[in-house]
Amino acid sequence: MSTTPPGSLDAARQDAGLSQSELWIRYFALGGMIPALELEAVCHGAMVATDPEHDRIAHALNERFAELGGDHPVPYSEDSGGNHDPAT
Amino acid sequence: MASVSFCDAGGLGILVEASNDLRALGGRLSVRSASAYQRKLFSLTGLYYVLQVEGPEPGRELLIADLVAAARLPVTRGVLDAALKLVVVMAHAVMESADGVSITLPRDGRLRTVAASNDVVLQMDHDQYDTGQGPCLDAAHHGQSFTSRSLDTERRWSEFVPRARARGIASIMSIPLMQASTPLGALNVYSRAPDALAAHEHDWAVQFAAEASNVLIAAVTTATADTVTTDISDALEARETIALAQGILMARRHLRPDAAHRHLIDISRRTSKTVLAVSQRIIEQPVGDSTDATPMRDRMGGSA
Repeated sequence: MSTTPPGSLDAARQDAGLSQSELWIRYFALGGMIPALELEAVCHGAMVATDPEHDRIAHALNERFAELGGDHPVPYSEDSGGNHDPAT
Repeated sequence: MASVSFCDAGGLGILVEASNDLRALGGRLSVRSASAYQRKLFSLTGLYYVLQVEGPEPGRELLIADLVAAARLPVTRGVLDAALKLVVVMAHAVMESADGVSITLPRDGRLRTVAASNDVVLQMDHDQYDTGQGPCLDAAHHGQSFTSRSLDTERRWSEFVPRARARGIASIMSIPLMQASTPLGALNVYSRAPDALAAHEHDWAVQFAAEASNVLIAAVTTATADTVTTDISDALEARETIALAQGILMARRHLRPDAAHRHLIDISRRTSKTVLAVSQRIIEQPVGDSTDATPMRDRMGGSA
């Protein structure tokens, strides 16, 4: 079991050049259920998302990186072993 | 509801219809295993207690508020009106005695109807704007509720009341939309029956007025927020498309919801296409075409 380092999602968001609002919209479009303010908390590591929600966030970021000509640098739950609290 | 991944206004309508049918037979519909999203939707639409949803009602962080406030979107007039229209439609659906619901807001220096459940309601509002009197205007100006249980005996609004009666309206209720102590507009409920708008319907109206107020406050709050280029309506459309593709995968490949969504992400990663593009392709695929491979472990119950 590995851990997503606290704040790494927010660092990725900044690298991707997305505002919190833009990330939430992209995440929401992918079927995400977490409200915007909680998503901000998840990105900063203050809250833990379930694996499916984490993967939506990761994919929203990765699609942005792909738009910028990059790869998919944000790990998915499967890549990190999946440590996300299913109750969140 | 655990296996339901998407529910729109049509789905809610079916649940309300089933609930009404059961109630007519002396029974009650109760909703179990609703997801957090569904509970928010039921709460937003005022159906939480109507449908006896199991579990605690979510707080005020409702879905529409999420859409326009938490996302801190610069709310366009179109988005705002669509959100208010949703409030009106849901209020009309929930309040059995209501023959029409509308929302009045100041626009371009005068009060106008920005959302109405039908044309009669719209005409009723215009009658008030034309005569310069009526419960809607009073609620919007004074920040207090104005109710007339029977227009037959109503002594206020002498020019407006005859017009309302001529349109077949018998009782009216106008609830102010408020930001703190400042009135923003009004939510109006009309009924063709006298004494129809009972106390519990007043409570519903207050709840929906609060929801409309939240939307407006969100709009005001976000008017100066960062520029966000992505349009919320595009996001909603994308979400619906992806949910539909997820549903198709669940049905065709016997996948659980999360496995179906993960499958979409897997294809997206493999093909370097967006999940939306992948979803659109799946929706367009004829039945029986299963060119994408699904890992066996994702199948429902571990079998094909």
